[in-house]
Amino acid sequence: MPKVINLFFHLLILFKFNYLQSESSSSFAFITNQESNKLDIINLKTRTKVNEIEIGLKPAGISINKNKGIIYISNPGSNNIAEFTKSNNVINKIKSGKSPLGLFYSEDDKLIVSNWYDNQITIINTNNKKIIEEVEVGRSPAGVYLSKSNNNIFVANKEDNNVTVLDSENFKFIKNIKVEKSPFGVFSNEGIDFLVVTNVQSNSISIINKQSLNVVKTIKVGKWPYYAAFDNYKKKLYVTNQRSDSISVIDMNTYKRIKTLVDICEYPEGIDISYNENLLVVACWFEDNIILLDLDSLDEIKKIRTSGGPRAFGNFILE
Amino acid sequence: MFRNLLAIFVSIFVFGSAFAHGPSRQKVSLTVNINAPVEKVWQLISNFKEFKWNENVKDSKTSSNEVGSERVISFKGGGAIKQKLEKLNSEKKMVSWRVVETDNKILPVNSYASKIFVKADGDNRTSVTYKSGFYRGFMGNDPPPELNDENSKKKVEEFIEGNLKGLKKIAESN
Repeated sequence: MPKVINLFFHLLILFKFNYLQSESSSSFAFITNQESNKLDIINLKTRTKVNEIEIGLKPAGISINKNKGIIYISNPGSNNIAEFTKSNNVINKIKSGKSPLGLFYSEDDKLIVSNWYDNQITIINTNNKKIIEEVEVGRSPAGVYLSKSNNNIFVANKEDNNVTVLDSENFKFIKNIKVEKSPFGVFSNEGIDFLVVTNVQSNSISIINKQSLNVVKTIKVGKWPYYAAFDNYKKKLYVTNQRSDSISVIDMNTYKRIKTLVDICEYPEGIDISYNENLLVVACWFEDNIILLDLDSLDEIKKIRTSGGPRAFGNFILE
Repeated sequence: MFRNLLAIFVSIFVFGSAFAHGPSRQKVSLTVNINAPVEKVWQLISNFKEFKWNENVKDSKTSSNEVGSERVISFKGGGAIKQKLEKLNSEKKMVSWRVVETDNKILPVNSYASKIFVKADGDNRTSVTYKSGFYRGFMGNDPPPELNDENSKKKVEEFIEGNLKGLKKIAESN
């Protein structure tokens, strides 16, 4: 009898391993294209574009529920959020405020949306698609992030040069953190204790400690920083600089800029990492393509044509 | 009277808005082929001090060809824009200009920057690509028709077309 049980467990482990392997073998990038109004789907394993889907007007922001394979897209032109389920290609539209831009899906099934013209954020329950709360923040809110371990929501207010921090349970105001000029992109993940804010007009990034809620470092980057990606293993931060056509590479152990990748492409914007494929993926707004860089050498591997005006504002890789 | 009105128009500069990042940025990219050697075309394009390409331009004033210099371009129909020389790369034959101040009647834009790429296309032929990225003239919600996406893009296209047409004419003449 124990042998049977043993065999059963072995099979189970084998099954689980195979299952995980098949899951991990697929990596996709979802690219919002603000000019073509389409969501482009790129298979990062085969390095080809596999689909393009009409998703709404002027799509910009993106966030992914990785467990369920659901992609959320902000459509500032049609004042709604598109919920795209990858397995069956079904699109639902969720109502939001005026000109939704920044998006963040949190694993407790909350979707945080910044509404650029309304100066507020909307918190949506992704199960019943109902609005839980609308909260006034600063002027022209852009990037958003919810820290589960700190129970905080962070919102970059572009016209107020600060970041609003709210309690993610009761949505009460906690603090405004002063940063530099025109904060736009907000990046973090659950594995790190810091949050990165790109200050577009002062060509810098602010590093905020998620616990103390203070700016711990301000680092100069290129012109018009847009968004960031962090390599959890090498502890390197990559920042796209729209008007320098470059990517700044920062060592987050020392907060030093160790390298600048120049002439990456025209207007590099959205940036994300595929660990499965060992790639740094960058959306190039002016060139209408995405570029794939080797995550070790940072050499360009391939350019892939997109449908028009790729922005990919947020984390856009599902694997 | 006319001269006074002109003076008023010229003085109304619309300063680059603090908004740099509305939700929808636009782009225009136009290319012209010129029957002239690349060196001649590059000389015209890289000379920030001289800007006589566009037939609607009355005058262009600046003191320097250095990166960071600014020039005021005034138009025959009134109004002016101020441009800054952002980048000048002789090796790649690329120049980048940014609009620092604009007049919405001429160029209804915000955060406008352009790049001009010059490439040889044979011994006596040059290809010039002029690219611009910008936001519309009105950055708020519900823009008036003359400052919406469509009209802002149309005006940028007209401006670039005029520049390239004039450049071609000058480069192809002696």
